[in-house]
Amino acid sequence: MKLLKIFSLKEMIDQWNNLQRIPIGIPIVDESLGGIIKGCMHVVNGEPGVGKTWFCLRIIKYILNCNREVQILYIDFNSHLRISNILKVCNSSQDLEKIVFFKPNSLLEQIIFFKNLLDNPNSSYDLVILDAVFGSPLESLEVLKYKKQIWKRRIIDHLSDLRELADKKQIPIIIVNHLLTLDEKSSFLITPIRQLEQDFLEEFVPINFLINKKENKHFLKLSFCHHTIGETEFEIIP
Amino acid sequence: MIRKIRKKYDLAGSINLISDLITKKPIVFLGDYLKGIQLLFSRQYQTLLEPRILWVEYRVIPIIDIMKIVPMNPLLNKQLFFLPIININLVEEILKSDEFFLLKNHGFSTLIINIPSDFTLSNDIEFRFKELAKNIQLVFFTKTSLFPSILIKEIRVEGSYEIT
Repeated sequence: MKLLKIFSLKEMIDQWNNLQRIPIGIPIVDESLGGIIKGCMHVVNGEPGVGKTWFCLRIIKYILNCNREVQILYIDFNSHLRISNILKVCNSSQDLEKIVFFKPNSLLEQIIFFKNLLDNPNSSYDLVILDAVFGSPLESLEVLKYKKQIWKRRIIDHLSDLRELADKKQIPIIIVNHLLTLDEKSSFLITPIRQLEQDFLEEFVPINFLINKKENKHFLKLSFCHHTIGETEFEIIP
Repeated sequence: MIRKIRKKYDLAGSINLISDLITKKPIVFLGDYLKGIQLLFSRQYQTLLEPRILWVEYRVIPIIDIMKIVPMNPLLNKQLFFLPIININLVEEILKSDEFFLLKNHGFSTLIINIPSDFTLSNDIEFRFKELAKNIQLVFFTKTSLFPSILIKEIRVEGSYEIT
């Protein structure tokens, strides 16, 4: 089997342009990128409480409203989802059936779940959302149970598997990442771990949705490959 | 035996870097990755990265940065090729493969290789790099301690196009 797949510059650009897009109803994303991109990883960054989970639910609502026959996988690591919130995005019980929820008990369980998904030729989803990819900052303390090197390798493997899954099955994958608050940044235990996680995300994820909240208004800053495309205010659930 | 040559360059002294590139010693870029990429493809080095460049990358390929560079260096349209590695666990397999080693016969004159920071270089891969370095300019983005016995040049890239 040919291991090396070499592409010319033109082929790389064409490949990127030919990836299918799914509009999500936010003009800055739909107009600049065409929407979320199949085969690509996306990260939703933000401090706690800014609306990262709601942003994901907003995307789901828009896609369901487009009457798409979709299957969505939602990994609810932090138990941020409430039944009442899910019902706000689903217009009917048929919509509810289009979403598969999984709540891993640990990061390791999440990693194993996705390895199985990658190896399973029959698994098929139109969108995968991981909320949150590394769990909450307190869960980073799990790292203290392991040697740092083993933990680093585990995180890198996980992100690699996610990227391969996105590429192989041509799925858009959205991962939610908890950014440190000022208080958390002063924690000598959590900060180095979270900084590493942030560095890894930059290596593997090209599209960044940075969510901020000011005076009850929500803002999205969109970046692609470290370049800021623009910023916009948006409604959590229109 | 570890041999490292650390050189400090100022802008006027960058001609030394040019001569280092001509002599085909493997080069390791340290510091800011994206600035390193921009520097490597800047106009002053354009003609020195010999034609048919293969970029081996496990990270996200910075398409936007490349698309900004290309209009300034139109030759890159025909000269630049990519080997994206989707899963980082394939890096070792690829570097060890005969296919990779035989790239020297495919007309590539420069290899840019980004290697994960926790990668351990086996004797096998190190030997292959040494062999490749005889005919191909090797440029690495990684830590220099990866190369205990290969003579390399370090280039630390910080700030904006500074070579220190």
